[in-house]
Amino acid sequence: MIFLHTADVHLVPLSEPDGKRRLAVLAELCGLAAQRDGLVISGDLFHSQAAASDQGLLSGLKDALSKAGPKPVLIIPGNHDRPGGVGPHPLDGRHDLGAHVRLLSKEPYEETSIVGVRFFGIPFQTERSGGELLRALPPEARGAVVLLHGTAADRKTLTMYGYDPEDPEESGDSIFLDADLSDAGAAYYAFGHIHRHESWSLKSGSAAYPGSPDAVTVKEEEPRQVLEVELRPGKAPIINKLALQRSARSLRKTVLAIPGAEGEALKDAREFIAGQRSDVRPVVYIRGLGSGRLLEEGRKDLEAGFKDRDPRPIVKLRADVLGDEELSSPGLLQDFGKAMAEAAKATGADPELTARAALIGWLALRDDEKSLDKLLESIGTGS
Amino acid sequence: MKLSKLAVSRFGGLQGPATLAFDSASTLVYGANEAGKTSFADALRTALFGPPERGRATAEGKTFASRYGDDYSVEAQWLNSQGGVLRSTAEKPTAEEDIPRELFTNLFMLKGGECTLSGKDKLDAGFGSKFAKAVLGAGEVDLDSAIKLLQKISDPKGSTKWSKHDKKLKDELALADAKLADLGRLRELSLKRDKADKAVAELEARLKSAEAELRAAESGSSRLEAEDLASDRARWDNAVSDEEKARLPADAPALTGLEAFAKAESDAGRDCASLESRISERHAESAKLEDALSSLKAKAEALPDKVLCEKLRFSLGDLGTASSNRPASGAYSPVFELLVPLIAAGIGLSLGWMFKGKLGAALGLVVCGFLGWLALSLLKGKAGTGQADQEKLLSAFRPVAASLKWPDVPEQCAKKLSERDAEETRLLAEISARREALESAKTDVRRLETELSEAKSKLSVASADLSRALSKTSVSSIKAYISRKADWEAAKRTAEHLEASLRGRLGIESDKPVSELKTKLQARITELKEAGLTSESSQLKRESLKPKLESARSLREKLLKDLEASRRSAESARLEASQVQASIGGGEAAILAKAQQARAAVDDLSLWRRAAEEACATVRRLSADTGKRVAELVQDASPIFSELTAGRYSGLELQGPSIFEEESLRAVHSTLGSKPVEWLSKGTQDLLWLCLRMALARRIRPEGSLLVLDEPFLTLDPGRAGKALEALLGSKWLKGWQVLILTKDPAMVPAASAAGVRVLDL
Repeated sequence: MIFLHTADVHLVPLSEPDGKRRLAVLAELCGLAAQRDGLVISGDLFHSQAAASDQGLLSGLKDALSKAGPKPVLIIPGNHDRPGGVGPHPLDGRHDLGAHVRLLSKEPYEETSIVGVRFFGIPFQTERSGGELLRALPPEARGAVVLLHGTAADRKTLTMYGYDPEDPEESGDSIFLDADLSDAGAAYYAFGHIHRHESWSLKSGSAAYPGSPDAVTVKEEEPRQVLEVELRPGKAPIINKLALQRSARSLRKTVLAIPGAEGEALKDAREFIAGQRSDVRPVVYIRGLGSGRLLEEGRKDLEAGFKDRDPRPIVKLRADVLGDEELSSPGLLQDFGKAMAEAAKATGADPELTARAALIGWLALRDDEKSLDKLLESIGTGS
Repeated sequence: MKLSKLAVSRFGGLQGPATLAFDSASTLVYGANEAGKTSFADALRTALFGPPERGRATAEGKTFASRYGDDYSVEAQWLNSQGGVLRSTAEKPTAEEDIPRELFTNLFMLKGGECTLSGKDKLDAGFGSKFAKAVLGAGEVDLDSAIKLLQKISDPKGSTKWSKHDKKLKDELALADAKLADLGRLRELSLKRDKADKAVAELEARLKSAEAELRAAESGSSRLEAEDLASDRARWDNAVSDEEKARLPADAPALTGLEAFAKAESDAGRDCASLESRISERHAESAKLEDALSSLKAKAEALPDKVLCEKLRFSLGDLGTASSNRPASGAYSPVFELLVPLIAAGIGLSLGWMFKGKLGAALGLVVCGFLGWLALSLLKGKAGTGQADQEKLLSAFRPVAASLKWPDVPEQCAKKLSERDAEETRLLAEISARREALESAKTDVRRLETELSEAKSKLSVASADLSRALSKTSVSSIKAYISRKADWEAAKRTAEHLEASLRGRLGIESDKPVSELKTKLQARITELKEAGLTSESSQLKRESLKPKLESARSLREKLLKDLEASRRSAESARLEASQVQASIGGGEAAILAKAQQARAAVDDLSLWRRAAEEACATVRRLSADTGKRVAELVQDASPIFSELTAGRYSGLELQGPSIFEEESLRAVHSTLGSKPVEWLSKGTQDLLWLCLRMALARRIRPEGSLLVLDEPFLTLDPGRAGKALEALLGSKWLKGWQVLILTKDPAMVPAASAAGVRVLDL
């Protein structure tokens, strides 16, 4: 029995830059699923409620899903489909997505089967803890496939990808511990929520995050894929990664600005964006010190210049921007900026570290203890 | 960049409109007070950088607005280093790239007395440091201080503030990690709680079933107990009834009375028996005596016939040998003697039969027989007495002896006769004795019979007494009385035992009335019957019920104990889990997020420390460069200073590691030797300040540019000022530079003219 496992498609309205590509990626996935026994989507099909109510998108979604037909497509709602994990949500059957699409949205779980194999879908919900949800599964879940959406907290390398306090669409999380997963005894846990691929073995069975099939955030730099899972009775499932033609990954670069040489940083950014292939979403962070006015103007120019690129690049101004007057020092401060840039170039230091050094050095040279105190206070507050 | 023209209108002291033209060479701009020198400098600055921003609430902006208002115009014309002409106005100032504002303000435009008159810092606090801060940096740069500051940040023990914050973040991380660890504990507790809850549910179910069994058993037991009680009550009732029935009447004699009666009766009976026995004995005795008498009589009758013997005796007497033993009677033939009684008896028989039948016959037989014998006897006596003569006597004797079959020897017969007489005497004596004894016995019998009669009478009385007494107890005998009494006592004991047992079972004390016992007993039986209604009697087996009940009770006890333990365990796990949950405070996702944030914050602070280290390294490099540059600067300024002091000082030198150290910059006097510049006069310090700025300006713009000196020699005496101006204007060090010197000192005008410098009089 072979099925495909994906999650975190994060469909956005078609009017948004990534809207059409995400839908195309889903259609590609469904096309691959038609050659297997089915497809499971472990949550976050939609990025937002706005997406879930976009008629054009819903129509396109039905078309995309139809490419898998008649092979079944199992879908559970994730935290983006159902913010907060309570109440109604767009995957509760209100939309006709095709006869072969099975929405597993009943709490605490809903059961179905594909070619005789049991599948249990645990929709995203927050009234019960992950452990409680797993313990609520019936004995028949042993040896079955379980779809779930949340953070596998024992995967230390993954957990840092699970939480983005800056994302307003993040609304709640379910925490699943390996011990509980082992106790429930499913053959395969089809996870969703963390956009990075990882698979691991449990005392009984295996678990995997497929990663998002198309990069949703700037951190998602690894190649995107869908998982092909072959269930073997009495043996661990075989998990293959299948590459996707239509998806894109992010690729980040930090360019360092120095006072008086802001143009060079912008030039570096432009060259980086222009040099990337179409399956890469370039993400540029402008860091360091510089004229806020010049850097912001440059950032806007870059965005305008690449507005037709798909995926559209992201340019973020993360420099410690200073007023023109602060920057027009004739002597040591400018010399310091240049010295920092030269040192960073010579040593190949981490641009993030260099940018911070530039700022903290700048403040120290100005003997600006107040700002240093503010900086210290800001550490750990998220600001 | 050099100024070629400045056109101003309505600008402070320069109301104009005026157009001031300049050539590339230096110019002395002279004007008395209020002639417009300050307006000239401000117009120049406005043409270069525009007016200070109005929106800014700076002193500079306010002063500018109040001094110049809005209605002015300023336009300047410049020549750049390539010879190109540039125009700038207040509205469209020169791009800063040409002459950055800071550079112009700090370096290319000097105010007289700037070094000694302006600012709060005293130069004696460190000339070099002051110069570096004012001119080399953006006003406040202190490399050593920056290095120290960065070191404090990068060194984990350097700054209390950073250490504290670091510790706080690490504490938060430790707490968050502990809470994460608590998640595992919480899970274990939840599992424990769930397990205990499950156990509780199972035990409750088992308890329910055990209680049902117990109820069934109890119901059965109730039923049986009801039956037992009912049965015991029936037995009790029976016993009570038996007791009542067997109970002796209140006036019934006591057993002792009865026994007295009985004893009397018994004694009387015994007396009777004894008397009867004695009578019987006497009768027996009498019979024996009569037998003996008969025997004696027979013996007497068997003696040789008395008549013969009397005849013999007579014969003997007659013969002389007669003896007193001779028989008294005569002898008759035996047939005669037999026939006489028999005939008499026959007559009596016939007569009796005729009159009285059989009885009469018998009586006639006896009486007549006796009478016949009696008549014969009388006849015999009369016959013997008539014989006499010896021979006659012997002849008479012999037949008599022969009749007696005695030897016909008279002696022998006399002996025999004597013997027979003796025998007859003895027999008669014995007969007499026997007759007396018989008589005595008969007397005794009569007496005894009298006594017996009395005894029987006593017995009758005693029996009547006893009978009367027994009749009161409705028993026929004392045995029956005893038996009845025994029955009564047994029934009473049974009744009492059952009552005590029932009282005990119902918990009713013995002093409570029986009616209460009965009422409660009935109520209890009803209650038990109701309780036992559910049990099926067919399944009730008394012998198996008890162990069943005990087993159900012990199972229930055990289950209750287990249940209590499980409940305690569940409760304890629940409590502990809620404590852990409370100490964690918040959902799992929030805890994980918090831990990630805390870790990120610790990493963030660590990265800032590394950044401070990096920055510190760069500042150190910069410091080393700056020291080198300052040394070069001092070297450049040294001949200028010598020139402008007209040789009083041969030059400058640096002592110590850095210009920022106090007294490190020293002036070498031509005759007095080296001394720290802080020791110089104020005017000479200002001059030194000018020299250092000129040297720095030359280094920054080696090709030359515009240098504006506003009252550069303000703090010098007029003589030294003139010489200094001459030296300045003639200095080779300012070759290629356009120097505009603003002054109100008229003595400067001829000095400038003498040096071939154009004078612009405002």
